[in-house]
Amino acid sequence: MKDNIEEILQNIGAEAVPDDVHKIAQETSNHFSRSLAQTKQPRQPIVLEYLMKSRISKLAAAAVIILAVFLGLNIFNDSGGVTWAEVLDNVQKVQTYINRMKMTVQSPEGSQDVDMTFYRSTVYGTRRDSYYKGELISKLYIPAKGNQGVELVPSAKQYVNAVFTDEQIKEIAEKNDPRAIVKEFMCCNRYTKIGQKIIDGIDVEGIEVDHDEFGKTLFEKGKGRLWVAVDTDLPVRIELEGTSAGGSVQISMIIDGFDWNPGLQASDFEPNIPSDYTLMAQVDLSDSIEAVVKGLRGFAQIAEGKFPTNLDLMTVGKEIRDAFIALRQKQGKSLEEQPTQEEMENMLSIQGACLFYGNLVKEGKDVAYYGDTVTIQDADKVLMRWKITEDQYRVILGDLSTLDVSTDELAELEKTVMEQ
Amino acid sequence: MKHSERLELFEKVRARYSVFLLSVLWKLTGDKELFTEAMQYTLLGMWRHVEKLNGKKAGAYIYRIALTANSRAWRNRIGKNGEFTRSQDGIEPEPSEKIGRVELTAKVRKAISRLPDKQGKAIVMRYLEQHDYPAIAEKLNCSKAGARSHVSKALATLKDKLAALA
Repeated sequence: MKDNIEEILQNIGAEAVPDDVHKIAQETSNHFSRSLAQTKQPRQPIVLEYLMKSRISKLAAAAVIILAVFLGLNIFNDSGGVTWAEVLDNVQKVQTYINRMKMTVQSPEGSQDVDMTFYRSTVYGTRRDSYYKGELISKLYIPAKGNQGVELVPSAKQYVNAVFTDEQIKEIAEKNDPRAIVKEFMCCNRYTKIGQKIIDGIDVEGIEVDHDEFGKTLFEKGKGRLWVAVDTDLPVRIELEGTSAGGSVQISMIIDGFDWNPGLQASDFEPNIPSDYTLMAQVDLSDSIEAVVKGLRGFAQIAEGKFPTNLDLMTVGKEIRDAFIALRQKQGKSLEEQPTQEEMENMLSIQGACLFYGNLVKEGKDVAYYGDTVTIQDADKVLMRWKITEDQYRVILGDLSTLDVSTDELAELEKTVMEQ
Repeated sequence: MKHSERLELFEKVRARYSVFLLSVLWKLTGDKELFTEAMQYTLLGMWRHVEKLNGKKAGAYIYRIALTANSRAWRNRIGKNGEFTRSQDGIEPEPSEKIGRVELTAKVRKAISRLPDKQGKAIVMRYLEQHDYPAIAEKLNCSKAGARSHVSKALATLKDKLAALA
């Protein structure tokens, strides 16, 4: 045994430090130094506050998971001009499939890896199992029909009810067709061919998409690569990467492990909420104006009147987490204490606004959002606006009231924001 | 010492020991999240004791700070039990032999985090930094025989702790 230990120790000693760990060390160190430089009171708990962030990693992971509920939705643009048909003509309609996804989120506080397995059926719906460090942390079920999704959180013995619109449910169902993913990647001739290579022993050909609108619901700025099997025209791997929160958060997603027509059953898609589970939150995630306002209000309650600086899911995820930590500290509560139902609902509801915003971008509705400068105190300032007719805009003001205005009236209203 | 002076000294020490901390903390943790947490605790320890990091004993303090930080990170890890859970079945299928080795390595790391101060240093210096005994003796301020003794005792303690973890 002793020899064995020595061998292991020698192996550990010979290990090289991976490149991404170099990066993590640099970022952690720089962030710490910045925190020190920013405080005028040298022994105040600002540093402790920073340290505490890592203690809520499990909660943060859960937040990331739930915030990423819509992965597969709205990532891509749907506008016309598709030129993909020949490539996919001979692909059989896939009724069910399984795929896995590895998501890595790197921020100044560290790196988090989450593994997910998606089960998809055009008949029964979608199920997503999420794992953090190998532990099952949530199971999400979205039916093919109806408008209610359920997410089970086994570690807390709780569940989240999420309300969707019929259109959202339909969109999730449509995304079940892998050809739709390929179609969206190849949309509008806005892709670049990146050649052939071999992935897991399969000859594949790739394309890359990198333009301003790509992945707007998920990232501030993102790009994607799609690798399709040369002999089947079916996706083999999808790679998405992007940045959020002003570039301080980097996200990487690898979608692969596709298993086509695996013979899934109805029972694979039934949540069967255990009788000892309690409700964690009831969230309206429909992309309605009411849901958007509710989401923004919930965020502002956690963030002391501030709104997310940007409405992509990853920025919102980071900012709601930071705001929640600050709130808990102010309240003198432990971060390990389970959030209340109201707090969870406030934290989760903002996703509706992200979806709504993503759709407006996708639909080219001349949307603008000013959450980086407008707070809930700014009753006369435009927080968000988008076009509803040729010469009319709908506006959400800082106090979350809404009104419809003409183009000229909007210009007048926006002056105050622009002047900041 | 003024805040600005402490900051300046902290930055100097941080720059001097950054390579050492990166290497040792990574080898002690072998896990990005644990590494980040250990690094944060180390930086906090360095900041709190920055006045002591300006003299001849700075290196010894840094060792102590880093090893204490590593122990705290391991204690704090999710689930509090410090167990490494391997990747989800089906996501990264690996031969069972490899999984066994990975798990055993993680257990060794965890056991190091629970070693007494001097034994922990001895293991880090001998195996993670790959120093020879004269160098270890100098750093631990003891004889070569003493250095060998610390390493030997540390290995025996590790063996006991691993048996307890099995």
